[in-house]
Amino acid sequence: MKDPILNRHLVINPDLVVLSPAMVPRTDAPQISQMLKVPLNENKFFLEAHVKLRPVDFATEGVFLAGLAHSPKTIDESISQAKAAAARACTIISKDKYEAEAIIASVNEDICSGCGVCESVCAYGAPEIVLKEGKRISQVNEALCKGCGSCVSSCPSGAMQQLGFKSQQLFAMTDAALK
Amino acid sequence: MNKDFKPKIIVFCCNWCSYAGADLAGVSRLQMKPYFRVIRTMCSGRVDPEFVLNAFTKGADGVMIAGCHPGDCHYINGNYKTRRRYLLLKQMIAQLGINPQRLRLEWISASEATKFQQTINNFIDEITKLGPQSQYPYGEV
Repeated sequence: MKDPILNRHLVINPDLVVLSPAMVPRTDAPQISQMLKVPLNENKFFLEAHVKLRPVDFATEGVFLAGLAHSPKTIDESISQAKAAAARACTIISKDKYEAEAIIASVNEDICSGCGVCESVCAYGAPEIVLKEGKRISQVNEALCKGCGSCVSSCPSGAMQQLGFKSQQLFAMTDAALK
Repeated sequence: MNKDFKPKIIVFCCNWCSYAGADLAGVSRLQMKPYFRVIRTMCSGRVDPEFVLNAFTKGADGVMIAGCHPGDCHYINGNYKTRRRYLLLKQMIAQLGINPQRLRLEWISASEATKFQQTINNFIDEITKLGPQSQYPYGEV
């Protein structure tokens, strides 16, 4: 074989040769991804919420990631990642109450026309059209909402607002930046 | 071309990829022209076409929307919605008399600090070449 560091050919006589074959993601990963609403990267491995800040979490609450589902890695790395995932899961299980995200979508029921656009664009199924006092309006399930704001930007009547990222706030930011 | 022209550029960055990429570009001390302002949204899917139109109305010379690469969206598919909106919006601003080159959509991941720098500098150069948007009160296209 050729050694790239020495830049010359070496002859080795081993008793046992162990090959490290390519690791490929499972073929059913896309189905699981759709079922649990968790993202995959371009190579069809699961994608964590943030590489540095939340390495074993998914954006979807309560789903964690470890091992070869994430990327090709050694067994040591898989074990430490699994321990981390278990610890992260404990942070949820150990509490009696769970605090939801603050930056979720909220509906102004007076303006909402119940068109259902928010329901169709949401990847998490958080907004839902319900009948309230004989009127079709959207209602956001606060536990499911992840706060992406897709429904807010697609709401034709401006009834949907994202707390912390209200349209008025973003307009004000743009205006200030252009002064 | 006016040499003293300092364009005003608004960049909408998604919290998870492009904003982190911009952050990394800053931390890595990559040099960028100081004519852009970043506005953070949680997802590029939050960028309402109204925000872009508002920016152009208030005197922005260019608007860039930056999000995660297709398939990498933190919110599963927000950036696909952005892409659809962007394509419609580009046609719309042309009808309103704004050069569609003044609006750009870019995919920048959290690790692509150099891409952020290059894209920003490149966009600023392009906008500087186009000149101020306000010089065309009856539309430039």
